[in-house]
Amino acid sequence: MKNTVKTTMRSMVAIAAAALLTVGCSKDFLNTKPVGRDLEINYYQTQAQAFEALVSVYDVLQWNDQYGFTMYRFLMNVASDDTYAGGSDASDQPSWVATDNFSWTPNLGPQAGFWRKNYKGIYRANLFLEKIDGIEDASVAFKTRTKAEVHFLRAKFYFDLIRSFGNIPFITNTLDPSEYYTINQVGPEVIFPFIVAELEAAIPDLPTTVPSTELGRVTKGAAQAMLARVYLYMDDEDNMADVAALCEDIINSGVYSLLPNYGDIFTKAGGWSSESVFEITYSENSTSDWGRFGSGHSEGNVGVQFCGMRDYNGPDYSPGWGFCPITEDLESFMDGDPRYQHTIIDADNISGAEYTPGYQNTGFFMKKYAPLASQFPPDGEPALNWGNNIREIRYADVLLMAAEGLVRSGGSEAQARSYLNQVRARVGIQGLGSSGNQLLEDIFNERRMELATEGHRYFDLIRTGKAANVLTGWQAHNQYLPIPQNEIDASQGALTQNTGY
Amino acid sequence: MRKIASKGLFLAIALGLATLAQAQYSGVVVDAADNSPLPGAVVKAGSVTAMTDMDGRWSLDVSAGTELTASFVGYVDKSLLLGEQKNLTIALRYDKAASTLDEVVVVGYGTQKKSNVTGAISSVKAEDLEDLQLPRLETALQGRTSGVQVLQNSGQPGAASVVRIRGTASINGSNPLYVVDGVVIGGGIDFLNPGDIETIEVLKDAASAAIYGARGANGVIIVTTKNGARAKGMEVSVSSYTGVQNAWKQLPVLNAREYATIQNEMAAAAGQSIPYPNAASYGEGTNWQSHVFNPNAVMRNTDFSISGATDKGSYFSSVSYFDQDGIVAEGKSNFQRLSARLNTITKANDRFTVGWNVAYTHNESQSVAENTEFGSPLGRALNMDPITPLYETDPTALSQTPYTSGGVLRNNLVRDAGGIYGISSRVTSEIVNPVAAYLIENNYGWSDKIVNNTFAEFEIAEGLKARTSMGIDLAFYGGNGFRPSHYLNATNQLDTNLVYSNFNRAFTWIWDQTITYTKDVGDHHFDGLLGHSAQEVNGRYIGGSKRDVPVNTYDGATIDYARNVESQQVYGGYWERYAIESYFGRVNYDYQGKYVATAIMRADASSNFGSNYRWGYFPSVSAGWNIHKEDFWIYDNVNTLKLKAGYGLNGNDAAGSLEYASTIVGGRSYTFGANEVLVNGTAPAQVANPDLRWESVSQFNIGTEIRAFDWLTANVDFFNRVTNDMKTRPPLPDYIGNDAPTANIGSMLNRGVDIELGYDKTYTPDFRFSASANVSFLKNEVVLLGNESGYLPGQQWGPQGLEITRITEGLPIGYFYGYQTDGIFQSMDDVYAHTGGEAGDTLQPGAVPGDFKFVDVNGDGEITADDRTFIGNPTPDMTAGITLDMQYKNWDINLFGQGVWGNQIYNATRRYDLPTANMTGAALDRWTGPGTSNTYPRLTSQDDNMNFARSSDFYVEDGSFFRIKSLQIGYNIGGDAADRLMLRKMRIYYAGTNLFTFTKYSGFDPEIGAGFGVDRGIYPQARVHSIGLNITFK
Repeated sequence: MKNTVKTTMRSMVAIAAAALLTVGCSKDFLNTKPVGRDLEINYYQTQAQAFEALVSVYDVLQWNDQYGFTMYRFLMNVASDDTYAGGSDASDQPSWVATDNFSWTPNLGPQAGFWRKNYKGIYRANLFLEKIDGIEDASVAFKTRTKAEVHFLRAKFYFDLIRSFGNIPFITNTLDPSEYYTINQVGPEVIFPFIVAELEAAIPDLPTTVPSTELGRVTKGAAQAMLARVYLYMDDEDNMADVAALCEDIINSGVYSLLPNYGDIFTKAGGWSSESVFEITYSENSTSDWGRFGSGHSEGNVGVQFCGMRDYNGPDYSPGWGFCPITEDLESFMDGDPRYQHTIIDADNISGAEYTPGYQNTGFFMKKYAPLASQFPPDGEPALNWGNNIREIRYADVLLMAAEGLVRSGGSEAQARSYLNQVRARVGIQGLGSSGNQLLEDIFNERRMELATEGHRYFDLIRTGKAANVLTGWQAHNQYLPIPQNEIDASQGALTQNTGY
Repeated sequence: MRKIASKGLFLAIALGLATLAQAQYSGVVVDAADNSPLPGAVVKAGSVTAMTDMDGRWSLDVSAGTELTASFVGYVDKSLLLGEQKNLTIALRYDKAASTLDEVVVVGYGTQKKSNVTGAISSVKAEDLEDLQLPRLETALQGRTSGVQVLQNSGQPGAASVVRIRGTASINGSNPLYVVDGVVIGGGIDFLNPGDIETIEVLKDAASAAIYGARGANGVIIVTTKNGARAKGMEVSVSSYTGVQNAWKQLPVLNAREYATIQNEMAAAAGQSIPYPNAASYGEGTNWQSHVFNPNAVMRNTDFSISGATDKGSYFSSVSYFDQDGIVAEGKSNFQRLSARLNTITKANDRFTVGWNVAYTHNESQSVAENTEFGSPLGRALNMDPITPLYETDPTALSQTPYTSGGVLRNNLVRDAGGIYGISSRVTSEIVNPVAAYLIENNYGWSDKIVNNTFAEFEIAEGLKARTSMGIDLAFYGGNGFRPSHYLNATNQLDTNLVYSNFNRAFTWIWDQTITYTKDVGDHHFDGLLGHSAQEVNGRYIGGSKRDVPVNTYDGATIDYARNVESQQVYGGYWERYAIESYFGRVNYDYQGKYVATAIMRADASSNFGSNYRWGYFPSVSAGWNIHKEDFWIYDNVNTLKLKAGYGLNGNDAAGSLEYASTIVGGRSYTFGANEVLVNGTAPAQVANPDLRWESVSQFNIGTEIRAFDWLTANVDFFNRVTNDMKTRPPLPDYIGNDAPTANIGSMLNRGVDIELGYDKTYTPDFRFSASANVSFLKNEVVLLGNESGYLPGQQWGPQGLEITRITEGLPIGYFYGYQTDGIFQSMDDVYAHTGGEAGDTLQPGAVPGDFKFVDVNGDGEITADDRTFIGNPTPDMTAGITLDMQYKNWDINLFGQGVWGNQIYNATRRYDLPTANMTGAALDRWTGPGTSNTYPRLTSQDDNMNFARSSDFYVEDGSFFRIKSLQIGYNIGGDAADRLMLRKMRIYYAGTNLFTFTKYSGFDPEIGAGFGVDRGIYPQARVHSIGLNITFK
């Protein structure tokens, strides 16, 4: 009995001690530390962190999965007279069909994807620019260059937005919750000068060339070419001399040249060739799967899968989903040009091959970004892991912009013809001797031929005022996409819809 | 009673003062009916207590004049004053009503007498489960309690079930909290051997679940495992069964001849050339379902247990093995569970008790894809054309594409002893040869889990107890897989094989301290509980993959064996810690057992929330009135009549770790350099919301319990359950550029009635019949989502992402969304007559006879996406279960059925985007001319009216069903034979599972737990015939 009492007492003490130990766990008990990520309040302290933030701004360039399949350049082909929408049937991708026949509504179309992507980029750029000066760990040279890169990227995001939407929130800082619904929606008159200023600020601080390990980062030539593209789109004749000057600066830099063989441009080896002024890069190694689709972290180029031939079984190509069939118009326009064979796949005449004709099938498919069996993604969901880079700015484009700038600014037509004819001579066709408006027309024609299915045609038609004549179903209000309805809903009245929608 | 007690007290004082000396009293407690001894009865006198031994004997050292009370579960207590007589035989009378009322109910951190329970708690007892075949815990609940909807996810072995207590309370997960022997279990309850279960209590209302505070919002399922009972002495039990499983239904699909005919018709309708000029020549073709289903799949289980008790404690130990093959994809879908358990309780001394429950479980499984339109064995079997042969044997075919590449036979075609598996040249995408596709699947899962609970309980003073317990849940689990090099079709091929593996460890500890105090003051009874609890969850994981293993089979394929070093991928890390700390208290009060009340308060602090809202407080009150105990109650036939009501607040802390904070995450990568290096980038994941907090569910419950004539019981509860602060992600404008955080904005309503009825009557000593039924009515409504559009997108279907469900304010969660059809145009006149809008426009100018007539819901004169609307509800209005039990002499029959009514199923089994995909026999009744059909439209390869490519009520079917879940016929060997074999019990039985299903649903199975009512090719429940044996040795 005595023993029992003793044991009991000991037990009591043990229990009481145990209770006391845990009652009122220490405050840290309920604090969870992040694993594999960081709290924002502890971040942006080092140069390495700043670089990762920079990469995240670049990251947005390659996004093509926001609110569905919203591959910018491919959709611009669909909008233009280069390709149709395609797909398995009319219901395959309604927003693509709407882009093909301009039946966009505030709820239907690729606008939500374009909008979200570019504002994501702008947010990351703004965040970077807010943080970079306060990072003591980063060198001045690092700060100067990366800020210039971010200014370029922010300019590109705004350029893609203003061209597509016309009247957009103008945001140059990360918003405090109190500012969420008090933004200004402004037009080209505010945005274009801002874009020009961004690029002008960036140009002097960017390197002329980058080491091979840094390919993909913005160069001076890329920023100059981008500014030239912006000026052309602004369509103000006062800027045409600047277009010519910017492009000639690129030409005279000696950094770039046309590839001897046009067909090499879109091969894997043609990536970052001497002809590439700027590419948007994709990876075949990110093992993306459908679970990641829509998050922006799918690093492959799904456009490649889209434009392949449906259920294709035969040599050279891998099956795709039958989108972007070439229009009869482009096919006949290119007929006889040496670039035809590098631009258009004549699917019905590949020996030993079969495919399933889909919606709007013409038998002709895009070749420049076609899925090649030899480049079949090694890992992950194949559709989401094509590594084909988008050739965003080619030297040939720069030459043609230079020619256009010269002609429109009253500069040397001989020089302009020389630039135009360099592009023609590369594919072994005769130079042109035209002048004046005919020369300008020839330059526009050459643009379509040279840059066919690269996603530039649609905005070329718009900026030259030809869209209404050339594009079936296009009306004046289609110059701009509708502002996404989900965005109008979420903005609590801060946004106004574009006219015509 | 009161009189006796006070008289006793007086006498005790009088006599006690006189004689003070203690004497030994002893005797035997017997059943008043037959004078048989009652072992395990409790005999209490003053502060000393004794328990009767195997012969019903007891002895106590007490003073004369003390009041002695003998009690035994199921019997009426008997009290007497000790006097001269030292040897006493106490006869107790069995009382059916008492046997129920004396039942205790586990209520969380303790137990309560059933008659004093004021919340809505359903119990499932061991005796209800004893003879059943239960592959998992959830099956024990299915159809046996009201208010609990249990639907098996699928028939795949090892598949979990969806358990919803009183509806879906949140869009953020509505799984109940599982507590096994006091340990909160995470990561599923696969580990639990159903044979070990003693009782299951379901805390349905907030007043009961409030004791689990921030985690009680979805209801709590408390499982108590078995322990030895002293009354039974040592007991050795073996139970075993073996069953044969088969699919209970194959769907009628088109045979090859019908397929070719319809494909011709479709091509002709689209103006294309006829693909099969001689359709009749194709005959029956391939019956893919017969190749995919695995006939006579075996399922078996063996439990072995030893239990017993002495006056120093009790023990229960068991070993169990369960093995189930699936009815789909032979050799690729199965589950095995090996489990062992030891439960012990030791009375160290009069005041000190220690105990230990420990269970170890090892699971292994193999699984195939299910319920997906992107390639599951059954989905493929339904969609694959019947012309393609199982094996391609035609040499001409084998000498061409797709079997060859560059003129040479591919080396990675799927083949076995039967030859090379056929490849369809008709159906594409993920719809490949279903058999070849499952043969190359190798998905292995495994887990090792130890759940342990150690406790010590100390009686500090009479009525005052302290208890501490430490629960440990340690789980190792992972998966292994192998994808051989294969060619299934152009889009499903792999040149170099791939092996992958992952390994995880999860560790949870939970430490509870409680103090309970019981006090009687006159007719007032109080008992109280104070407690503190802390829990922490940690985990680690690692995994990887590599290509090019020199063997092309799962056996022998390891990452180390694989040759392609560059392809090696590895990932790993550890979880962000989860911790919760809680204080809780409960007071129970009753007055003469007539008026009962319970109040609970719990405070929880969860690491999932920031400092602004770390602590949450969850109170509840409930009260009951046992009317039958009132003096005025003169209706002897009504033994019990209780009214009860309760109100409480529960929480749901299901937020992600650091969900409230702004974190910088990686993976925002971009490719740089000639070598295309993917460089990591980082960016904020979302805007911070430091005010993020738990969702709260407030619930009002009012109910009654009735028992009449000793054989009839009825429990009825009405509830109104409101979820507030439901976490949603109200959209921020995208121009902000950072993603919106989750915020506590939404609300949801569940309202319903739970009814349980029981009938139990012993007609003659040889014949007993009992029946029980439960019915629940439920209405679910999403009240508020807090975004401008008023809806959240739900599920999508097919590669084009057809929107087929939505969550919308004012409608039930996850309702089916699409167009309404109004029959089929029989003529062009019908097309022209289908007008709408103010101008009376023709609504479908492009339609032709045979097309669906879509309803212009918004009346704008056009059929647009805005005309999509509510077309079905996946949540049943009513669920019910019924059990019939009959015993006649040595025979017993048990029948159990379950059903749901008022819900719909979205039949998304056919790939609408693939015109060449096969169809079910319903296509034979398609529209082919005026008057032929008003429900199934014409078939064409050019579906311009989008008859099939739109989500519409065409795909929505009645999902009601009633199913005879099980039927058992058993024979008990008793009497001398049993005695000679030293048997307490021996029962041989037949059991049939899912014998009959009554439903209008046309798919494989209306029981679709997964996918919220959308059937994308469900793995159906098996029909099982089995034979079993239960033996208990003396």
